Amino acid sequence: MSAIESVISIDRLVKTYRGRFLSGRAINALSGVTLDAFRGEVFGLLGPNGAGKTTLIKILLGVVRASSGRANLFDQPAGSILARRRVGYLPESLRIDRHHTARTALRYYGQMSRLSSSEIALKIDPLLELVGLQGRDREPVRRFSKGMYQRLGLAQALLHDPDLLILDEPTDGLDPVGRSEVRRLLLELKSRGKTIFLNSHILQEVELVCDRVAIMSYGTVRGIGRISDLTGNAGGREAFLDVSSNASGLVNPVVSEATLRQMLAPIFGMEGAKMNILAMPESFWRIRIVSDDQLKLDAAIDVLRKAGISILGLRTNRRSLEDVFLSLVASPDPLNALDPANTGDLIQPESPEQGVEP
Amino acid sequence: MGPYLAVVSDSFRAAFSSRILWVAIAAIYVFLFAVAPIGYREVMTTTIRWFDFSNGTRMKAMLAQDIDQSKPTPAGQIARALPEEIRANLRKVAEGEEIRIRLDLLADALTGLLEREDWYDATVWKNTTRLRELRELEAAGSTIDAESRRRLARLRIESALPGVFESRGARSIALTYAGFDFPAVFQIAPDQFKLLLNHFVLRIIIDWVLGFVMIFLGILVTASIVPDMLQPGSLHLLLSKPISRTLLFLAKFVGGCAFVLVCVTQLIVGLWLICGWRLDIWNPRLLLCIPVCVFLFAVFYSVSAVAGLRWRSPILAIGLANAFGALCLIVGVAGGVSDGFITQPDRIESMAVSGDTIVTATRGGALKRFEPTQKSWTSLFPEAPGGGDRILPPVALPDGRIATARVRSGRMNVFGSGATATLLLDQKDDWLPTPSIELPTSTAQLFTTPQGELIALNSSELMVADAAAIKIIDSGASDRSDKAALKVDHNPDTETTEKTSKPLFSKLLKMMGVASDSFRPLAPAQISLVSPRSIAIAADGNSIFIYASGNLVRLDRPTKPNESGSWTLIKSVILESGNEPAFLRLIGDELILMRSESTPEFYSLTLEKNTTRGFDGFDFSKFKIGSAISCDGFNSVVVVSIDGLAFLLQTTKGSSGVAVSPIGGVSDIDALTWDKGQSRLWLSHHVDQLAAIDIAKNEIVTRYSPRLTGWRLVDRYVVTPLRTLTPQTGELSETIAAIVSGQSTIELPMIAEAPPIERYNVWRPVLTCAAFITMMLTIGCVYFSRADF
Repeated sequence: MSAIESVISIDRLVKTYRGRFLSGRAINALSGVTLDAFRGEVFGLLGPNGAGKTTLIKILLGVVRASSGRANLFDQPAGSILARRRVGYLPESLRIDRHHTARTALRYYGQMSRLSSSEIALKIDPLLELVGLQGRDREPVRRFSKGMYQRLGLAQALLHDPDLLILDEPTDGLDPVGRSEVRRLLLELKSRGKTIFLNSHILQEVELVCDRVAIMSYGTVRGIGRISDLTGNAGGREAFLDVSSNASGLVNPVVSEATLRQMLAPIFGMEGAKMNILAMPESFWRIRIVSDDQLKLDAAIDVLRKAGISILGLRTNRRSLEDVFLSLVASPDPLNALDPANTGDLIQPESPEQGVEP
Repeated sequence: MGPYLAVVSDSFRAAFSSRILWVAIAAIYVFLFAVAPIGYREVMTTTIRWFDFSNGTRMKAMLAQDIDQSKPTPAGQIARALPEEIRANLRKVAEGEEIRIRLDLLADALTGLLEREDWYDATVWKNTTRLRELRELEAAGSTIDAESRRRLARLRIESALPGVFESRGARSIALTYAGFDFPAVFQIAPDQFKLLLNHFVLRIIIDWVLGFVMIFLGILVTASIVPDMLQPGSLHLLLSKPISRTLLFLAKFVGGCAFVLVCVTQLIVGLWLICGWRLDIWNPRLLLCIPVCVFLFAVFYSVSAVAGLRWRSPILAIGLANAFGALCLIVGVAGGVSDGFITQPDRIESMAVSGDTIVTATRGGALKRFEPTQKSWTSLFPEAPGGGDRILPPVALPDGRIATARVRSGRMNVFGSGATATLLLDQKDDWLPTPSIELPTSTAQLFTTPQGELIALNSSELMVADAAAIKIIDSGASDRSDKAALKVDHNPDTETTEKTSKPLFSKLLKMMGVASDSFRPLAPAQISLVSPRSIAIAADGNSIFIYASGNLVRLDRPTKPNESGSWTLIKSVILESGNEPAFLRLIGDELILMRSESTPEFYSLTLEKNTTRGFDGFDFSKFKIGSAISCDGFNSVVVVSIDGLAFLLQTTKGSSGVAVSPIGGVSDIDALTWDKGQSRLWLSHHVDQLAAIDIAKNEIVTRYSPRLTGWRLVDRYVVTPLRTLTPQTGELSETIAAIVSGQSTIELPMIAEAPPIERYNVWRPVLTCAAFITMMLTIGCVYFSRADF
């Protein structure tokens, strides 16, 4: 295990919702989830509806009890009062009683977080300013827009200066400026050593702020790691080489698919890399190489050029997080994803230091 | 506790933000402003009303007897001053006609005399009993104002018609509204006013305004608190905080009670201030109703909260809370019906022991004998439907017979309907009641002397029948059992012919309460027997001691027969008067006079007060006496508190101290009697159970728990468990009445020596409600702490 402090540690977590008496059937919301989030990182949790993200967050907060497995926050059982003392949570659909103003709501939730009145009084004004609610703090919350609610929710989550922030769609309802402010705030909190566990459907936002993500589907983690790792490991960078044996562009009858494969095999090997060679209608060959190793690509070009083969074109194509997300969640068989022998694209958890930057 | 106090205080804020709260508060203030102008003024008790008469029949007879008497009498003077129409009717009564004279007309006519003085003649009145107030007013002479003159006139009328008027205080309360008298003149004595207010008016207000309206409103407002908390965006945030789920639920529950607390506090504090400022009744106990009302609300809210927790629907929570209220009401009504028609009629009111036989009179008007071998009660005659009959407390005669009487319809009417015959129970007749001599009208209590005489006390007279006269009237029926049934159920109407044939004077005397057949007056005419009163008979039967409305009197058996047959007045002492029940008993060679909430006083048999007596370590200041009996050869007295606990009072020769020791092992005592034969004190308790106490050892020697049959079984095994399991919210009104009045019982109007007592169920509703709330909250806490949300 890494020397870096694990803030969230989840091991083979299972949650089965039992069906009602004499009706309904049990639902496996989580089927052996294992992941860790480390101190000072922004961890994104991705997955389609019904993937088990909300159940996972509920277990971390103690709202729901796990059927089996282990979930710890700060080395304390998830849901324990000690663990919850260090957690700030922003729910997806925040609901604050209508009789509150922003100020009284913050005072109330501050007391619920076991802050003293003087501590609350000291923190309220800076927080209101931070989330952009200064001047609106004495209005009843029933007049608040969705975005203002979200700002107030963020403020209450930050009120007791938690070490872990669990944010469920934090930018939902915010305008672009507000989203940008929230992103900036998250990065600032990260720089202060806070851990942020972010659940969001906005992949672009996740790509912008998250150090690592976990992609869930059917109650299992399909992929976890740095985004660059995920996009790389999920298929690597594609390179397309369009080649011809003479400058006129006509295909040299001497050059065949087998010849090309024979020339490139020593570089990429026949097993390790993914390589396709296609005869294109306009009398040239298109070689598709999937590899992130630039040196090998350079070597392939050198080999081809030495053999008198012209390089008509070179184009690379990198996969986005969305591509990875869609490809990972597409598998309907969650059991396959769990079996390391059949994981395919499944990336095992690792610490940020072990990741490789692209 | 910070977070949980925050939840509670947040509930207050939520309550204050509720429109319904402000509507409720507005309604409360409208109500308080409506009742605030109610005030009172003290007036002298002058005007005579029909309910001031304790014995209207006697009054008519007295007026009719004297209206045309040649010798001037006070009653005659008054009768002749009445309006012509009433005079004519009185003359018809005097002639033996059955004329009905409405008491309210008589009362108005007598009130009319208060403005005149022509009917008054000091010489005619000189032999009447003149109370201190009357003497003082007469001494003041012409200096008294008009109101005092009216009062003086009323007192003269009362003294002219002894035994006719209820005991009333000198001053009354006249209610006003915004300074104006109530349209209907409403005068009651201050103590009655206080009793009425504390036991009934405030109880009804609190029952209906708080116990019904406020709780319904409260449930409407608070039903959404728990379901709102369970909304995902709210609950998940709350549960993410470092707080305990159990305490969060409890804090929400306590906070939910904030609404009712806010409303109830304003209403009760308002009522308290109005009672204090406007009526001069500063009763801090009224404020204790605030927690009781919130407690009552908590019962229903616990249902609403758990329903809201389970189904997350305010509508369902309201519906279930109301359904639960309906269930409580049904069980409460069933319990009330069971009490009223099953248990209470069987409750023993009085008892007598003769040899091995125990005879009791029940509240339902039944006379029963206990069968120790069968462990059951046997009714000695069929019970009248509705339990309207009153059975005179049975007394054991020296020859082993037991005397009692059945006053038909006598429970609500002291005079009953028709003539009342003494019933004699004799072992020879298998204890079947057999009619004997006719009792004086409105007899309330019987006594016996060692000489075998039977003494009857009615509303105004003390009369005695010689032992020789106490015999069975043979009806001629041959079969003994048929005879008993026939005799007991004999219809008084069949006697009408016989009665109307009696001399007119005899009839008038009977109307006045004197039975001329066998009973003759025992007390001289000037002896007042106005309640509260108590009689004690000396061990040798030659002296009778009477306490009546502040007068302590000794009468001795005449050494030579006199013309009237009455006993000789030896001494009369005027004591401080009071309206509370009093018990005069013999203890050793002294008299003990026990009055509620005051230390008993000792008097020698010559009525000299013994001030040296003291009670070691026993505080009588809050002790209210329900009954008392001399026992153990008059060496000790057993008193039973109105709470149903018995205490033994013993004096020791040569010591001034009086030892008071509780009689353990028996509670809920209703009646007691002394068994001379076996020197045992018999107590009836818990409706119809019996216990015999060995006074010397102060221990129970015999216990009888009769077998239950019929509806009593249903009551024991169906109704009582249901009442135990269901919170008795309806009975909380009795708790409120007990709190407001500061008394755990209410004494009903006195007929005999001690008033019938209704004990409030103070603790049962509190305990059942507390148990229910605890159960519901436990269910709620377990569910909330274990459920996934």
